[in-house]
Amino acid sequence: MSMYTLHMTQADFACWRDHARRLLSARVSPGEVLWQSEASAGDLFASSETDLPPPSETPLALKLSKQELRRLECASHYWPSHHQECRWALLYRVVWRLALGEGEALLAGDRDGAVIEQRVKAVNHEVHHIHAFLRFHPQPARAGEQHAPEFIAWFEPRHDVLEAAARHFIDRMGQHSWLIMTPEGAIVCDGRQWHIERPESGAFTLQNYQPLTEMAEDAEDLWLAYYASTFNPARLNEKTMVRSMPSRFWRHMPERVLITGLISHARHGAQQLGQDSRLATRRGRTIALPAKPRH
Amino acid sequence: MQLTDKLIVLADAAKYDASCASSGAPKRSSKGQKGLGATNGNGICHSFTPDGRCVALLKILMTNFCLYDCQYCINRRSSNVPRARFSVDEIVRLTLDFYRRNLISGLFLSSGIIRSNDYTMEALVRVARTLRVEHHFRGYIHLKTIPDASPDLIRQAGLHADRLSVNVELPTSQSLNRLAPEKSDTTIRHAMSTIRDGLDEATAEPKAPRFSPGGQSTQMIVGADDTDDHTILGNVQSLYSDYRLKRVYYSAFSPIPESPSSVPLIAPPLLREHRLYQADFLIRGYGFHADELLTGPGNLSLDIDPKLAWALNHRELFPIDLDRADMYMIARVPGIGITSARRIETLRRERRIRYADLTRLGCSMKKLAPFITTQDYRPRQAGLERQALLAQMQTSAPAQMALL
Ligand code: SF4
Repeated sequence: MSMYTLHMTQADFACWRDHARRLLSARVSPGEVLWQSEASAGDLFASSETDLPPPSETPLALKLSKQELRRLECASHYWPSHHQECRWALLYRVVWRLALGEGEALLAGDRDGAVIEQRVKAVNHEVHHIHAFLRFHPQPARAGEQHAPEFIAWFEPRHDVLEAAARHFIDRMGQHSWLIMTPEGAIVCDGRQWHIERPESGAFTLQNYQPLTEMAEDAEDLWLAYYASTFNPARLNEKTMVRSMPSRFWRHMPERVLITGLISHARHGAQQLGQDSRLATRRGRTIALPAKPRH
Repeated sequence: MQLTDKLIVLADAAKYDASCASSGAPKRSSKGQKGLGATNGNGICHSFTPDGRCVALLKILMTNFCLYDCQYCINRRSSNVPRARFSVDEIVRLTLDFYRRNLISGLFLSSGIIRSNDYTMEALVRVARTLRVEHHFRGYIHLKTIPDASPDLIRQAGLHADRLSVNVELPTSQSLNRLAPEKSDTTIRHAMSTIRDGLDEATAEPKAPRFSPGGQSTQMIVGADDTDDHTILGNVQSLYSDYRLKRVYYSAFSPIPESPSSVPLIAPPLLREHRLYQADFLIRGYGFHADELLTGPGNLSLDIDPKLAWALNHRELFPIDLDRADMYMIARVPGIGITSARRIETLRRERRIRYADLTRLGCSMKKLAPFITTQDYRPRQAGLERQALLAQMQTSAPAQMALL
């Protein structure tokens, strides 16, 4: 058995799809392929790309529904940790099996299908996280900087969710201009169109982001007032909060400064009511009925 | 009063209403357009407070001045709380500012009843209209409907809101009479019918004016009176069928300051609320009938979830063969949800089901084990009686007790 090394010149689905098509038509089995992402290019053991055998006399080809393709593409946005299987190898094994007629390969009950499902879920979950927990900071108009974005945010996603975020926020923000920076890339939107900028080398860091942002001292006051007041101390349930809003996101959310205080106050405070304790000490007011209630 | 102070008072006054999901709106986008906001049908929780509840919308009262004296409510006229009122402009500014910062996906607006029902409702509608018409706001708007407001105002509300809701407040009309003497079950139901008719019209006639595309919902307070779950679920079942409700929300009664003696002063029954949501979900999504979940008077079990409780009471129907059973029955197995049931059906068209498939589908193995067979698996517990089986499941799965 010979081994073929394939370079993912661009770590994207389109590039993988081209390779996969050629591999199938040459009937190269998954076990014969080494996928090399650009990141491992400097790897000691990385070999240069090998020529594929010519198309086989009985080439394999595969037709996928839009939905199946979307599923595979979504799974390709998953960034595996170091002990997990390379995303391109997994995808190729799945299409190989499908091409051989193993229809179950993409179903969640299957060994490979289950991994695809788990990755699709994780990616969608992270898309949801960036939609939910990202915080835009409005920027004061600065003289001489007409092109500076009106809103700026920093976010650290776990998977490749930039495009999904871009499409979501352009729908929400109308003609406002905005910038979302993440370590792997930034979305720049001028209120009509967006594009993604990648760091020239390495990753964007907070040091790249912070100089772009200007924050008024009391910018978050109204939100903090609201957050504390909408909380019901009589229903304290820290576990559900942490499960639904993982703490890795807190760092960039203004309400982080309130959480511990609210919890300990609710747990140890004398007050076991739902009311915000800031109100308990204020003067209240009962209401007298008008002589005849008008209905 | 400062805006911050008003916000503190009027968010505190609104927090007991649980029906604040931001889902069910039609697709809207502001891409390249004047204005702000989008909806796509799915709700977004932008934050969670330490009570584990989702912050999706700016949930406030327009005012907590109120002429009514509902005993369970912190805003009742005899309650000694600080009072405040927002201007239309203040609500609009807060909504747009929070929205742009991505703190919320829209507005949930309710109000105490001031001057008259129509006066109050008109003021709520004005906020929605200003947001939509003047500011081209396309985010989510949920308006609480004042039951006694005129049908014409309800129609106008439906023109701008994504969801309308009238709270039934309490599980039975007797409790309502006792605890909310100014309210009436008849008017509440009348308002719900007005909304339902608006919904029907909008679906039946494509040219009819837009009307609350996210449907209507309602909320019921649990634990302020002594109605049992059997009565609650029975009433809920008819609410769903009579008024085309999207959701019924349950709100465990939280003790309020200077609590009147007519309502309890105990911690909110959170686990009971949780069980009611589970039972509600089985009725809406799994075709369960309220009578199947509770065959007689009483409450849902707090120890085990209602689906498991049902299955344990129907041992004669189990174990079922996953290669043959109806999808409807598969979805009734404890530990297998609707999605997994569908996936099992798709998979068995390719090949026979194996026990390990279920782990990969993410089913709850400890729960389902006694209730199914596959070609490579047969439950050992098949002969055990209900109590023994339950005991065994609980010792082997202590985790399932920690539901909250
Ligand atoms: S009408 Fe009743 S429930 Fe509504 S705010 Fe007034 S007192 Fe509270």
